[in-house]
Amino acid sequence: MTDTALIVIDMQVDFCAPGGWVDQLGEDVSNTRAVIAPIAALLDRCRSAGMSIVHTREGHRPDLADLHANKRWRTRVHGLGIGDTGRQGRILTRGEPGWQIVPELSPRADEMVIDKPGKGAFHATALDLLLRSRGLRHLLIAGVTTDCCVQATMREAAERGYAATLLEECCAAVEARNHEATLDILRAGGGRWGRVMRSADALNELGA
Amino acid sequence: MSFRQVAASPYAWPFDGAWSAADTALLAIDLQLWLMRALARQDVEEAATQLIEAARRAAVPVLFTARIGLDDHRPIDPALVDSRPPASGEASAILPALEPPSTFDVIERRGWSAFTGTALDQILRARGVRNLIFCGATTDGAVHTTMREANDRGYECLLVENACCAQVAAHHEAILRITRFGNGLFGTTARVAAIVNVLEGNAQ
Repeated sequence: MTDTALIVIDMQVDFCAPGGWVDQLGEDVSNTRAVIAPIAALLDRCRSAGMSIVHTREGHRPDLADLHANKRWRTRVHGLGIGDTGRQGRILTRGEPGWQIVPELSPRADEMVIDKPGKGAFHATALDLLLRSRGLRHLLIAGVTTDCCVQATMREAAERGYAATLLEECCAAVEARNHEATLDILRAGGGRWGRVMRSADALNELGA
Repeated sequence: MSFRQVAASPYAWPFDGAWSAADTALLAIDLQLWLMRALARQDVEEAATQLIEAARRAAVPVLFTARIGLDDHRPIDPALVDSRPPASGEASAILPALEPPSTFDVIERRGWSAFTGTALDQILRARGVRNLIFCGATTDGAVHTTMREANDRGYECLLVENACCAQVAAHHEAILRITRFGNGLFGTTARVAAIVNVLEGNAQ
């Protein structure tokens, strides 16, 4: 367990809470909200076991210098662009209310927080450096959304030689069928990028 | 010479209008003899061939990737064809009908993403490439992993629906759906005919 970290992906108001970005786009946040309680329980157990914990937040600098033009354009056409002002401040912009991690899952002072401008948590961040410098080689992955940033981070982790375990009931997508399809793809071929497990099984295996 | 936008879903590609042979490349992922033989998808081979030939006639650069040995990676379950490339050497052989003019046009990769441990990003940036068209195999494996990384790097990506395939058809369809979600999480998707039409008949 000393080489294992729990990484909680993008449990931010903009993705998981009423009034956040996804909610303002007119999409349903009930799936992404539903994993808050299981992840809170997971954090309790991992903290008690002394496991290393990483939180990620997707977001861009206030000057949007790290926002690709096509990402900005796609989100604007979709209804509300990154960097534009919504009901919880500027969408996915660092420091804004909507960009914060939901209060139920707030990081503690001694936990790593990774601010990422892309979908994968390794892209353009110090995550790989922080994990390697601590001797962390196995990642337990939770958070949102399964089909987007969670899957991206799992593929990136495998690519860098980490063992990755996706905690299936602690992940969600906006659309349930995309969550299920992603799990099917990740399980295929015996798990091309790692394993998909229930968190109780993964933690029991670790003795956590 | 610039080309007009390609009719695509959920949005016409590229997002910012015209494209040209100077700012675009076609990435042909793992159209390797051994893999395509295993997948046995003649329709996809033919569609990819049609696309690649049209790109070549229009002087759009075509870069191939080829997965070679995975000596430096942890073992992966061999159940999926993606997971067991033959030993280095014959491994990188591309379908003979598509053979690139130079072996330098084949990016040999060891990971799932063609960006991992390769000069792909450097090659694309040095050429001024901003737009990428993706075809090949498998849709949910190397094609999608590479396209995700390309998207995070800011390339404007087009996935060619009928010029790529997965071992499991449902996985191919799911990747198309996820790619298009939210007005294009990772880019947009089109069929070969839409691209060839623009390349061949409708230059501005």
